[in-house]
Amino acid sequence: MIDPVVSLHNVTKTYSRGGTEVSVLKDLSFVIPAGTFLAIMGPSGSGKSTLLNVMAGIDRPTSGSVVVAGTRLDGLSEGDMARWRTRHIGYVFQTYNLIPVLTAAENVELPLALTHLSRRERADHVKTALRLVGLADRMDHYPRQLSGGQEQRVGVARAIVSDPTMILADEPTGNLDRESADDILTLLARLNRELGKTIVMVTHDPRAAERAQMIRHLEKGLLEMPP
Amino acid sequence: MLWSAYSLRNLWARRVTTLLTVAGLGLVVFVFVAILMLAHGLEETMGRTGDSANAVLFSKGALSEIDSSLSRDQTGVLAAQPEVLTLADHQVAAVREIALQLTLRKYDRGSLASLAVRGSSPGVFAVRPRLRLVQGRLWQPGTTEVIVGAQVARQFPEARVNETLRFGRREWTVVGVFEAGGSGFDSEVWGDAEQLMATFHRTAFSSMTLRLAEPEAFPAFKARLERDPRVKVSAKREPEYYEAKAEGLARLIRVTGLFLTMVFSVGAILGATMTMSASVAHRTTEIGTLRTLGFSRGHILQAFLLESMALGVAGGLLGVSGAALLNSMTISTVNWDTGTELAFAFHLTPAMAGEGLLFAVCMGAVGGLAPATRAARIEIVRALGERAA
Repeated sequence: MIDPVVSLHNVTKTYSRGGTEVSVLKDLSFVIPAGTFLAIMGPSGSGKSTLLNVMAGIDRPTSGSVVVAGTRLDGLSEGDMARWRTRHIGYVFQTYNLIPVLTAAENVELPLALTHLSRRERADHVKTALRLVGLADRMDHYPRQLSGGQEQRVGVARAIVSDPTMILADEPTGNLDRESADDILTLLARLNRELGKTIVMVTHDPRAAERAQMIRHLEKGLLEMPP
Repeated sequence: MLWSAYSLRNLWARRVTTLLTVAGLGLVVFVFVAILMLAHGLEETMGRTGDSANAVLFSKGALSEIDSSLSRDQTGVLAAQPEVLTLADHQVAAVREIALQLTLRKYDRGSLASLAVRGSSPGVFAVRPRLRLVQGRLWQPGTTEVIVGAQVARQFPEARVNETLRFGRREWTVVGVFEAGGSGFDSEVWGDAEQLMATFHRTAFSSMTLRLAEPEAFPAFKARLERDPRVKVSAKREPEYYEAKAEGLARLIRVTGLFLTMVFSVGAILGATMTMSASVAHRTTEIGTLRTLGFSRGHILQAFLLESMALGVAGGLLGVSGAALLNSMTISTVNWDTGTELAFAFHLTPAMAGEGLLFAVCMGAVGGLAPATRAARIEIVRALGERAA
């Protein structure tokens, strides 16, 4: 049996909006085995990004327990959570979220700035990651000099450069044209297949979800379980 | 390295606001350093006045030459002290002096200025050997000839060689110009003590300056003289005496100047705060991204503080560079302690440049602290704009 990378038990998340409590996640319990490429689908407002954020440790559940990569997240302090994210989470954003004043290589290097790697080791890791996403020749380009697809590939390189336990992708193709979106999905599938990376991708695009090994639907805070 | 590059490039990315903020900080640092230079220049000028081997003697209880009175008998006893240097011609290195004031019109503004007039004797150049005559000659004893300091010659049209000064109902011919190394003597007019005393109906001298054979003997010399009931004098080393004469004005410059600097600095700090607040507001998503990548609140605080301190460093360098342009520029003003005109130069020291930079960095840090704290406190989800999807 494969150990789960993610294990959620009775997770709920509620927000207070204008004095009204809104439940975004309702008593969710599920596990994600290591090496899985999971797509979570759902309409806007279904809570899929919130679920991703809870798994990434950037949002905390109102109740329930979240265990990711063997660590129970609800007990971690703010600082420990930040250090844990550095080690275990690679995050791909819908809008790429590259730092405009840094080059592609420097953007990819950012997560490594939090490690004890030497300058040379960091440079090697950055080159490898950018080569993997096919942007070895764009290392010194600034985000404004790259196309949307290239920016997202830099985003993927940044997510994998520190060799995290899991890659979380929030609508990674949401801002891309079809061709670029296919490139990114192919890249994610390759990372999962060849490097055994566990990937959780949130999307509302059925064509993107089809590239995953497993699809789950989130509807009004409830996860639809497989038949 | 990467983290510093991130902060510094963000400043460059918003270069218009950055430059305006730097200009504001630079202006305050310029004023701050200029004031320090001014006060230091004044103290330095007065501190350079005189020679540490010389002792100035006044009547007991007098605070300066103006209110001191030494009789001929007293000065005779004082000149005969064994510690006084004997010159090659067997004369003692001692001068009896009288301090007066005269009013002259300046070249530039045509305004009137009060000048210090020193009645002395030709032996004054043996007592103060660092002074040198750069034009003309020394006055002849018993005549109404005078010599003027280099700054006086520069600032007053009537004080050129062969011109005539009118004071004390007499005419005084300028026969020479002396250079006193940028000291307070450069702002004085010197003539024959006996002629000046006769002109102003004085019967006593103001002070006496003695050159000691062994300068280190001064403490014992001072202690002995001040205990001696016959002479009733107090003694000071010459540079210390003149330095003390600038204390009041230097303090006034510092207090007024630093008060103004503090007021200006509030504006500069607010400028830095506004610049950094705009930067935080503009980069909220970026902050969320960095936090998601694993950067802590401390890292965010550090990055924004580094930016605001870099603004301070740039402002500091600008201000210190501006102030450096004033270096050696000479200005002339009334020394409140003596009531006479004194010319002195701005003087920048490495310590002042350091203080200016430190002040600028502190202004940057104070200005950036609130926005940096706000940036560090932003919740990641809120920063990313992904509360719920």
